[in-house]
Amino acid sequence: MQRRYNWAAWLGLGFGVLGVVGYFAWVILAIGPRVPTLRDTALVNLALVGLGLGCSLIAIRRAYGRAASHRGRVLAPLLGALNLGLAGLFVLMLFPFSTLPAAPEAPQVGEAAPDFILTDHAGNAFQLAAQRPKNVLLVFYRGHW
Amino acid sequence: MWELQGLRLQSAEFTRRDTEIVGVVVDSVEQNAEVVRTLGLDYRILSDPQLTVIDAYGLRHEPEPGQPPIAHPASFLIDAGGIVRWRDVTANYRLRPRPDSILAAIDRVTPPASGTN
Repeated sequence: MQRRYNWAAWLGLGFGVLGVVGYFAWVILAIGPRVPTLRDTALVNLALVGLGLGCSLIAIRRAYGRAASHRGRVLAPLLGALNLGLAGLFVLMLFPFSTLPAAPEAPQVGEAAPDFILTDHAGNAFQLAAQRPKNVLLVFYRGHW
Repeated sequence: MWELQGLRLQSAEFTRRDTEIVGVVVDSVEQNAEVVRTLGLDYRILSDPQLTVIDAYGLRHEPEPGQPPIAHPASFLIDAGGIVRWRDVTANYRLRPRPDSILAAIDRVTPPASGTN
């Protein structure tokens, strides 16, 4: 009897790659500014990664448990391991790798904000105290590094 | 720097609350001009390559040994008296305050300007 091709192995890796690449290429850049929940929790992407791992597991079970009817004894565990590695890396990047050390010296609520003068993107001087009576939302960010 | 676009989408609401959005980054004036152009920002980005202001705010961060220092992502709402009225110093660089929650903080901690609803 002709054994069936084990498509679930490829499908699993496909979902995994879609979940991970989609997070960086699409969710952070295009969706994040409008729907920050999807960026902050990465729920959709984690669900895709989970779906991918499920497919990989099915592929391995088919290859070994129903070996008479399914192929992929080498392919299914190989792609499954790749998918698991990718998922692990994604979870590490989402959580432990993106934590920052504390910044205990940063001004607290109720304290005076240090005044300063810096140059803006148009080359003009900007002084914090000169913005009064407006409020200022000062946003420090990482930039191109 | 993805929080910049989110703030851009709500910048009219900040203006309505008499609040000036200002970014601070280690990048050069030229890089900031490029970012303002490509993201279509309608507020100012300040260049702090020597980290003088970043240090004054206690926000120097060295991501990896040997790499140039950058700012720890953080936001401060400073009122007309120069006092910090709200702040967010994130512990995870993926997580930045949402524009809606910043606007809510402005409404909570600063009196609404006269003539607005």
